[in-house]
Amino acid sequence: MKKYVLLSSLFLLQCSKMGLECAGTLEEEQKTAYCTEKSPDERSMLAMKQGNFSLAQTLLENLIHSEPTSYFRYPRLAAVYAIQAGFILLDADITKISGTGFSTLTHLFPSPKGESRSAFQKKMAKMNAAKTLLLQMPEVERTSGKTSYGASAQFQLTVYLTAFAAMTLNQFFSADGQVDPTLLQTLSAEDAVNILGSLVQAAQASGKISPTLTPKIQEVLDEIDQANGESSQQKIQDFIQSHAS
Amino acid sequence: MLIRGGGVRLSFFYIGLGLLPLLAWGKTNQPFYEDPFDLASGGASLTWATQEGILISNPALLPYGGTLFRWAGEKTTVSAGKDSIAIAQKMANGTNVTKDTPSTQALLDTLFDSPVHVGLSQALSLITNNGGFAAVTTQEPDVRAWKYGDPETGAGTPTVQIHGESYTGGIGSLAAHIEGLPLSLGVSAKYVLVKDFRSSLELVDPQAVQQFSDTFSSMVRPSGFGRGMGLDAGSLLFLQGSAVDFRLASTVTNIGGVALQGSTTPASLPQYMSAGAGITFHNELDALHLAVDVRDLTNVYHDPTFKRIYAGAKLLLRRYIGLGVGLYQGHISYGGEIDLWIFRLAANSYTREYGNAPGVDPRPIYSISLSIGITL
Repeated sequence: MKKYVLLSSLFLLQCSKMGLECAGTLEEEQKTAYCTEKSPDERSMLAMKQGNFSLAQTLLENLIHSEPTSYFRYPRLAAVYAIQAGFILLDADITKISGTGFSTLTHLFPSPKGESRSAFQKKMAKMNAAKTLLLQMPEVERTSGKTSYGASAQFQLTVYLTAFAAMTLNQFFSADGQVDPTLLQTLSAEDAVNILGSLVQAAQASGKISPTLTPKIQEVLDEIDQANGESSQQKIQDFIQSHAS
Repeated sequence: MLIRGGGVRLSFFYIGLGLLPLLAWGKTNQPFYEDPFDLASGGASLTWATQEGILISNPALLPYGGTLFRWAGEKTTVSAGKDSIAIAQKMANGTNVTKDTPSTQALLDTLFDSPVHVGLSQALSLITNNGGFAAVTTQEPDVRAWKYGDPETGAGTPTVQIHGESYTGGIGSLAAHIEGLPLSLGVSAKYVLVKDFRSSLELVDPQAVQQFSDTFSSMVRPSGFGRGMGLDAGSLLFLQGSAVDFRLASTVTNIGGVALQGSTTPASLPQYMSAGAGITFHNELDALHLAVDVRDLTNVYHDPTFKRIYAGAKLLLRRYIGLGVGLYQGHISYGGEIDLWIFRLAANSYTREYGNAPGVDPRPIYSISLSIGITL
C-alpha cells in the first residue's frame, strides 16, 4: 500500500512539472499551483477581473502599441481609462435618467466630490483618453453589427463623450451644487469646445444604441444654445449659473 | 442601455433561467461522455476506462475485463460548479448573496464574480468483454459574466457569456483480442446529436438582448441539433506480468470526420488521433494504474498543450473501492468510487479550464454519480 501511494505521488509530481511554471505578479497566478505562462492578453483579462486596472492599462497599451490595428483591444482599454476616471458602467443607473438633461449629466457621471481640482482634472484626462482611443478606431470598427465589439465601442463612445462633457461641466460645481463664480470665470474657450464638441459627437454617435441618453444630450445642447451670451464660452457659463442651486 | 435592477438585465436573467437545462458546455478532444471515476483520475482513460467510458474512450479495452458480462445498468451523474453550489446554498438559506441587493438581482450580480456551472449526465449500457452498447446524454451549461469587458469578443461593456454543448447518442462497440499477440483491436459506431454554441450578450445593448432571445429560441429547437454517424477505432498493446502490466493505446476518433446534419455549429466533428501509456502494479486483489494520455496528436483542434495531456492514477482496493487522482486540464482532480454489487457510488472533483492557460478561466466542478446495475 505504501509503495502504491509513493509511486502515485512521484508520478503526479512528475506530471505536474511538464512545462508548467508560474510567473507574474497577479494574485490568481500565484494561487494557481499548476500554470503555464500566460499571454499578455490573458494577464490583462485577469488584471481587470481582479481590479488591478493600472496593470491592465500597461498590458493593453503595450499590446495596442505593438499591434495597433488589432482593434478588439481598444474598447477594453477605453473601459480601463473610464474606470480610472471614476466611471463604472455597471454602476451607472439608467433609472436615474428621469430628470432634466442637466441633472442626468451631473448625477450620472463623476463630479469632484471633495477632491482637489487637480485630482479631478487627472480623472478628466483619463476620460479624455477613453474617448480619444475609441475615436482612433476606424468608424466601421466601432459600429454596431460590424464587429463583435462594434456595439460596445459605439455605446462606450457615446457614453464617454457625454461623460467627458459632463465632467468638464461638473468641475465648476462644488459638492453642495454651488458654483464658484471665480472658478467659473476660468472656464476657457477650450473647455467650451470640449463640452460642446463632445456633446455634439455623442449625439451623433449614439444613434439607436442609447435611446434614453440621446434626448438628454440634445436637451442640454438646446439649453446651452438658448442661454445668454455672445460666445459659446459665455453661453456655457450662463447655462452653469442658471443651474446653480 | 444598462439598467441596474431594470428591464435589460432581468430580461436576460429570465431568458437564461428558463433555458439553462437545455444548455451545455463545449468540448474538443475530450470524449463526449466521461465516467466520473475516469475524470477523478485526470481523464486519462485510453489505457484504463470505467464501464460505458470504455466504449467511448477506447473499445480495444473491452477484452481485458475478466468476465464475459461486465456491466448492465444505468448511471446518473449530477455536477455543479463550486461557485454555483455556494450561491445555491446561500439562496436556500434565504440569505442574499450580496449584502445590499435582493435575491434575483443578486444572483445576476453574483455572475460577475462567480460563473454558474451545472450538469446532468445519464447513461444506459450493456458491456461484455467483446462488445457493448450505451445510450448516453450529457448536458452542462456554463454561464459567466464579465463586469468590465469581454476578452473574447473585445467588448468593453458588461457582458454575459453562455457556453453550451449537449451530446446525446448511442454507441455500439466490438472488440477482439488478436490471437498470438498481446494486442486487442476495437471499433465503435455511434450516432450523436450535438448542440454546440457559445453566445455573448452585451447587457448594455437592448437590440442585442432581443437578437439573443431570437437566436436562443432557434438554437434550442430540436432542428437546431446537429445529427451524425461516425466511427471510432482503438488498439491496446497489453504486456501482462505477474505484478506489473504495461499498456500502450492508440485511438482514432471520428474516422474520416463526422458530418453533422442540421443548421448548427459545428458542421462536423473532425477526425483526430490519440495515444496513451499506462503501467499497472497489482496483486490478486489490489491494483495501481498510472496513465498518461496525449489526445489529438496532430492538434486538429488547436488546443493548448495542457488541454491535450491527461494524466492520473487509479488505485483499486479489494475490487470494490477505487480512489483516483490526476491532472486534468492543468488542475488537480481527485475522487473515488464504491462498488456495492448492485449500486455503485462515485464522486469527484475536477476543474475544467475555459481559458488558454490553467488559472485563466477555471471552473472547479464537483460531481456525484449513482449507478444501478449488475456485474456478472
